[in-house]
Amino acid sequence: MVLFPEIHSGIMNLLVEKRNLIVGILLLSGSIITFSQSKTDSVTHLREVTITQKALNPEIKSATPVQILSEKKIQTLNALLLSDAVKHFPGVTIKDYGGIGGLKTISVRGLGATHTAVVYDGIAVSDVQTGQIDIGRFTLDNVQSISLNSGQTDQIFQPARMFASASVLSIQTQKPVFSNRNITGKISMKAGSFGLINPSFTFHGKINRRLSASFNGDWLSANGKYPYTLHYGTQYTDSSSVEIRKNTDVKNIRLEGTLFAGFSEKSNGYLKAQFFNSERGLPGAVIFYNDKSTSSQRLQDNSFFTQANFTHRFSNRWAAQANAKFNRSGINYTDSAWMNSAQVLENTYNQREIYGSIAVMNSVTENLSFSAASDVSLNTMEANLHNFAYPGRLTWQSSLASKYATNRISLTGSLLLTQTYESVKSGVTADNQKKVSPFVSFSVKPLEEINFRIRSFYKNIFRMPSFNDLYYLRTGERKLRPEDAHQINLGITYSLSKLKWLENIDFSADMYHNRIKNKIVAKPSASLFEWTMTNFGTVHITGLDLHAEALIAFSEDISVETGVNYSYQHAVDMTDETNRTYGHQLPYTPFHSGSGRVNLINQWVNIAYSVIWSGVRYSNAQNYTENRLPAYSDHSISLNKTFIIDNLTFRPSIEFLNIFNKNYEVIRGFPMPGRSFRINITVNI
Amino acid sequence: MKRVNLLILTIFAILLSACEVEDIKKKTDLPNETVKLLVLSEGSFTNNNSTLAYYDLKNKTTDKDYFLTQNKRGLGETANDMIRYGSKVYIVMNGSSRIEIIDINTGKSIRQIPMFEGNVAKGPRQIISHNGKVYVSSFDDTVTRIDTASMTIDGSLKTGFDPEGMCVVGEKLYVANSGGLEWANGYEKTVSVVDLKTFSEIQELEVGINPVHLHADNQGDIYVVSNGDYGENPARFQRIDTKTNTVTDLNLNVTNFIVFQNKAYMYSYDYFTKKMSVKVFDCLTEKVINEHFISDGTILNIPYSIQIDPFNNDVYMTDAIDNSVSGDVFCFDKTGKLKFQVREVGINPNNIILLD
Repeated sequence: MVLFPEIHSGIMNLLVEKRNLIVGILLLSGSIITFSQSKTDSVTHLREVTITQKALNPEIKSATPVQILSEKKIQTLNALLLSDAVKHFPGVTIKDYGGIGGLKTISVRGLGATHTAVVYDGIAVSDVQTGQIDIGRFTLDNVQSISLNSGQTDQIFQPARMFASASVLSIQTQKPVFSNRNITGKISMKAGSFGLINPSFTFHGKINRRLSASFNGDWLSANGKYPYTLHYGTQYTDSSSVEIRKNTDVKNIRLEGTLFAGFSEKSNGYLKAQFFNSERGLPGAVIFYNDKSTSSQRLQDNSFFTQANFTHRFSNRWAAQANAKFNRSGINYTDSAWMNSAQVLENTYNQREIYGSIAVMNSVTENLSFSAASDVSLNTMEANLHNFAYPGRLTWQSSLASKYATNRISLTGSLLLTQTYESVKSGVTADNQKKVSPFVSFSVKPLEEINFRIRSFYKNIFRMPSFNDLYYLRTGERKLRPEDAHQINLGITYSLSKLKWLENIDFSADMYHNRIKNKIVAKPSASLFEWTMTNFGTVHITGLDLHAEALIAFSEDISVETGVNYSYQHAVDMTDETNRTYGHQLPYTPFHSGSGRVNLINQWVNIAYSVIWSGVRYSNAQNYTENRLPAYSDHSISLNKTFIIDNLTFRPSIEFLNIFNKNYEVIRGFPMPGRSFRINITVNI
Repeated sequence: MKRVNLLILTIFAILLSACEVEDIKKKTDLPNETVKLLVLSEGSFTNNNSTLAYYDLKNKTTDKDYFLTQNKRGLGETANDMIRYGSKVYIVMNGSSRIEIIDINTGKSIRQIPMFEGNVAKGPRQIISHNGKVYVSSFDDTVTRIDTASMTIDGSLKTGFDPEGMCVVGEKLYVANSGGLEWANGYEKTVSVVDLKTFSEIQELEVGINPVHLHADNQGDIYVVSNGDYGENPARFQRIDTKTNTVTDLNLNVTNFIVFQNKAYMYSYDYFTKKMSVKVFDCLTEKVINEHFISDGTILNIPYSIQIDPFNNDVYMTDAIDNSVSGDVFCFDKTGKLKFQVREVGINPNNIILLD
């Protein structure tokens, strides 16, 4: 809600203190929050403000570009899934295959989904089979904040794996906060168009002085039968018909439990377990004149993981943390209209991961610190495919990092060493890899009084070929090398507070240039049903990300919170001058894109408007008219109100999505639902 | 009065027209050269971007999406084959699972024949014509007979797995059963012999693994291209003597070919070495008579189809480049020299029809 000036400057003072500076950074970049629980236990709303408001906004101070969406901001985005919220980050291209159950992957700054790490409460979610994460699987009910970092996060006390991607999307779940009660919780129910039903609950319980626990459950179901207009040509005069999207139902369930331990002021940790199961139809691309071929494919996927973190501060100078994770996930894909003699295709894939990490930090002085971390992960995969290799990979990552930071200057350097060991049960193994990946960042605040900063970073990182790239049937190619990414960024941030009615305005602008070498692409092979993966590609990406956010307080009761993003991306194929695609923009990468939101807060009914838009892009590697996908915009508006009865906080809301009813296509052949609505009621106890 | 005037005027007009001298039309007004090309392109998988391109040789103009221009709708998904029969062109749409019949002069669609068996798309693959009927092979292991006068399906036949290429010799239809979808079980290796009168299979001949293309000379010999299993069993080129139904191996590397006036014009492409070659084979002497047809060093990236101009023996070929960008059409004269090239007609251009 409205930020009062006294608390604002109070936070400034509090957080300038060195120890809480570290805490603040840990807090916002994905480590455990209970470290600070003893400090902020009794000041609940202060803690809320730390995360949601601008005091020492990491978006402004960070040397690497970072965007953060707090729980409160996420609620104004009219979003159901993580992918809906992430569309509001600049520089992001979400490949959305439509509906609620469709696959959604995130590419940042033209690098591709395989270069984006997804981190859940400080530990990476990995999928070595495909190399990318379906972010449509995550709902937002238990999310406290989402942040997106280009390069890597601004802090150095983290597992080695957190240094290992070109971009990091980090999800932090809600942590228990107890004021005068030992049990708090939230029950929420969503319902909406196309048969959407989504009940969820969260309970936090305080067990004793040291232990508390959270339990969270989420069930989502929809039939997804939305109408759309199918255009058979590109001109208005060409024919079209209204169809209903079929086989796009989805049923998801997620159960999650976490045990938080605050052993002392110096040590704490958490232990979490999550079970997830999803059953959905795969409609495939819309095929002209044939709606039968899209109705037979189904996907069932499930996962179970358990992860833990333990952090201990030995002294003012030394701290250490240990992280561990065990993950088992499976996919069952069936096609009941498969044309071969068996008449049905059923593929089952299973993955397992065991992960462990130790990290140590030494704060030599108030401003200078060093860290070292070592991570080991073992990944294996099984599949019921003909002649499958049953691959395994042991990855050992070690990092060394150093950071020098004052109020006005920060200089960070890190080095990541990666060594992989590949194994197979049958056939030839892929090559082991050994890579060294450097990173350096710098930011400076030239003038003490003005909150203006200049920042830049350079990073050289890679992504390993996935198990599919290496071993899938005959498409896989054992000799694949990792795909390299070089990133350079130069940007400015500016923050202004208390300018008449303008409570706060933040602004950031970043110019970047990325290069991908040895891009892993599919090339035709002898059998035209299966292509072969090769390292064949160089991509140059130049771009600009602009972001602005403002909080305007008209009076004590009325305020407007607004944010806007604009991105420019020029991502071209620079592989070979003689290629017919040389100099053409990469498929599905718009030149211009952006998003915005305006949130009107008052004592009657709050109104939240949000929009995402994308300029023209091409569905093929050649930027020809016939491959053009038109620009689109998706507008949503919602009404909500919060009121308190007894000790219960009610928050009903109604959302109107895609109000101009456009069946735009992010991916050719996968139309989006048109106009729809959702009703939501949340009760906090 | 007015009516009488009108009558007089009418009689006058008739008399006047009868006085006009009309030239007697030359009876020998036969077509003598190709003036237009129709090029069919598959498009990209699931992109609904199959196209029929039209190229006017005289005016050197192209309409890359001629079907869309004439019909205000796209062709659909994965156009796999096309033939000309009489005054119509038959286009086989594999992804959209239907046959699109268009008028050869206007490009306008006359009839669409959906190819479905209940809720399952048949997935039609290739088409040939014979005696007022066209025969379509489909992924659901059938050959469908369509009557061209009524433009309706009037017969269906179960064959081996995944039939592809077909040809007719005498009153028998030969169908290559590729088994393409059975790759996990070693494909198929038969050619079905079908009696056209009863429209039933009378015999199966064993050929190489994964047979896909069949063309006959006028001596009753059928030449078969089998792709093998892309591993231990290599591609094969064989001859079936239809008088004795014996199969002979010809040790030649052939990807696809066409037979014209008892000569087989064949091309081969090796995905590993990326090398291509075009040869001419004499079907009467059963020998290669030209090892390097292209005489001026022109190279195609991925040759995708071949067609002969019956008037001047020009050889037309399409080039898929890399199977993902828009491909080209090449025209060579009969000495193998490049006459002209039409760039970027469509993605994976797989068929050319020459119109006079």
